[in-house]
Amino acid sequence: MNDPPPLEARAVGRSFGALEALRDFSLTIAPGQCVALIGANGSGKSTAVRTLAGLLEPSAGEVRVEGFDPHSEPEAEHARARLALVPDNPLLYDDLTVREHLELVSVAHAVGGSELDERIGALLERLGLAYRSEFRPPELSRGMRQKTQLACALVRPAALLLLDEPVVGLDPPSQTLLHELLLERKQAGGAILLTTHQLGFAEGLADRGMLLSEGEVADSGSYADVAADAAASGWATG
Amino acid sequence: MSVLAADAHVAAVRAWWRVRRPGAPLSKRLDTAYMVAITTGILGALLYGTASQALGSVLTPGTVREWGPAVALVGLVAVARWGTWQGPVVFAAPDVPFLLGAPLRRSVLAARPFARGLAAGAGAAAVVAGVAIVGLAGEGRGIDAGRAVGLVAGVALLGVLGVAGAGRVQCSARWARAIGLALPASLALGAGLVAVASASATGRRVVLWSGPWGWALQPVSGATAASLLALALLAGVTALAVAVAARGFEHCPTERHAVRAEARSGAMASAWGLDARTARLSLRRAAGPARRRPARGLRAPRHPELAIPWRDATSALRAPQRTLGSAALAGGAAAVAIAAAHRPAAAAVAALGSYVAASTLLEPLRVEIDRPSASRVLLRRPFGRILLGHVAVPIAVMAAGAAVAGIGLAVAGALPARGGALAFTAIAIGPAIVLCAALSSRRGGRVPVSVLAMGSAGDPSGGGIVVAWLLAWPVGAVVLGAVPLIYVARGTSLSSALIFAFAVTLAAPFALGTVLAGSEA
Repeated sequence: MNDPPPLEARAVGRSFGALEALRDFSLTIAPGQCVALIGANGSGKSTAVRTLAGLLEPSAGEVRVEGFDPHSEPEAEHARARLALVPDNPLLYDDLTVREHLELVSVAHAVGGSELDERIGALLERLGLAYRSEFRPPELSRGMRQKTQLACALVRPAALLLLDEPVVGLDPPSQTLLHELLLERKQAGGAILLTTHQLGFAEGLADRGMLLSEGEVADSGSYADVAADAAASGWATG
Repeated sequence: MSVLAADAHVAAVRAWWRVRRPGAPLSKRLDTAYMVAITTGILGALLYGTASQALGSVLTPGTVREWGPAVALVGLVAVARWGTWQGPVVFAAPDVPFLLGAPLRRSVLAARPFARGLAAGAGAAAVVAGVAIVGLAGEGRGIDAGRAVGLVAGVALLGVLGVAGAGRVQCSARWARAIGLALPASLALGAGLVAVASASATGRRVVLWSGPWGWALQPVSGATAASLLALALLAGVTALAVAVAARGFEHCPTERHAVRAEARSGAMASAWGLDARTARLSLRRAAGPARRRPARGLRAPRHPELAIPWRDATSALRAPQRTLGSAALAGGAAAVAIAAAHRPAAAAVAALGSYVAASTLLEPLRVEIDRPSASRVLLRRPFGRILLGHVAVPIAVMAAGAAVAGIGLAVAGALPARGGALAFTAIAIGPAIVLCAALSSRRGGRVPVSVLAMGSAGDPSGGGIVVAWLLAWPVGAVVLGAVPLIYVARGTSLSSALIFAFAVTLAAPFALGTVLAGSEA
């Protein structure tokens, strides 16, 4: 029997009152695959990511993360163990240092071990956060906070990585670094779903693309084709 | 994962947390508890005589038996409704990705804050029961120790039941919708309970057995066996409610926790800036978007003067819960005013209830104040005149509520002496109360910097100016509402009392309306 895919979404919909923010959204991501969701502001990208991550309840359809429903407790615990989310707006504790955030994630996901300190240290070094590891979020720039949130997602193994606008607030070298890190994660067999306004960022990373418009999938296919169509209709490729 | 493993996993996180964020040491906590106890003891001893005298005339065994179950019912539903916005288990915003986003068992994560919420509910309710006992024992009546203990236990259990209800509401959209409808229903049922309890001794017995709200107050009746049975029933229902709520947390969707965490974080930030309006809007967002309802049967008026009332009527139809709840509250307040205006405290409570109802109905005016630029663009009239236009619909709703209350009491044969005059007065005080609420709303939700500066720098009362600023209009409404009622109920000559009352109810709205009309955006 085949293993369930890291992410499987069938006909997912989500409404906010009378507003249908997401309609009939279906997507399957295999291990080692990256899908980029692109679309204008309010097109439903964040709603899709948050619904797939279990943060929003779907109004219709179903989601499975390696076969587990992230919306049904206690089954959702298994789904949460397998997915990592990087939200568009970093949510960090004001009174914990950067390193402590990573330690907390490790304890909460029970991924400790003797080499934890080295792993955290190496990740902080790689992300350029080592010299700020004892700083607290109010002392960090928006980009640093974003990188801390990213480190929290990368410090533990996760079959599925969901990133909502991960490059917002990051300088160009950090964007390049993020691109490299995601590529490594993908090559290690991780599945990735990311949303972005910057078509160029997903180039060479995303295998498939989906263009969302007013909550519906307007175009999908290979990332190169979708990005080309999007660029032709006025999207910047930078 | 087994329950034991889930417990151990959460315990590991808590242990890590305790090391990183150690709480206050035991000595410090004991010191705080000692300070609270000593302050309460000293203030209690100083204020007991005055409180006993003031409460003793209002909280008699008779009034508690007649009004207590209704008040307990409305209080119980109001506490449960708190779950619509917050509830006993509210996480911090970063807890959502870090704890709720981890494979930690929800029921175990929620257990401690839920237990703390239940304890706080019991404690707060016990304090209310303590205040009631001061009144019951006042005027030399005294109270048997057994009855006092029974009353405290009953009311504390009711507090636990309310918090458990809030916990269930917080985790279920279906329960949240149900409790939204339950509040106006509880007001109507509460009025019915008062009517039945006021009618006869049998009615009072029926009301005390009518549900948890009556069982909690059964010790006031004095019958030991009945009290024990009622408390046992209440304990059983409360235990069941706690179990149901705890089970609800096991399956509570992340989204419901996330919106509450976000709302609390926004509300706290606004509260630190003493911006009550924004804090309330933040909390309200946690209840989710309101359902859209088509406004039927309301054509746009031709006369421009009717534009604002038309808009408010449309808003009232689109939020029937708010409109019906406020009308029910206005009706209940009017019923109290008519039935018990000879007691100054009852008249004041009635006026305060009317003020709260009016304030709720004035939501469109507050929206106007939130975005004055919209009025400048859409409407050509001066801003003050626009605000004045917003009081028409609330005045009409309040008058309708008061009229229904008066007719209801008349039909039930419960009108006291001078009941007709009191009913007309209850309707007539509406405009002044609505205008006080409008003038309060006009100030926006934020305490002005100038008031804050005076409160912090030049105020020897330590914030008294800020409190006075906050209470000015509610107190004004209570005075303008209660004084005519008391005068009509107790004045030696009815005709002169009526002349005075109507002079006040005509002059006050004129003066207040002039002030409101002079407002600038």
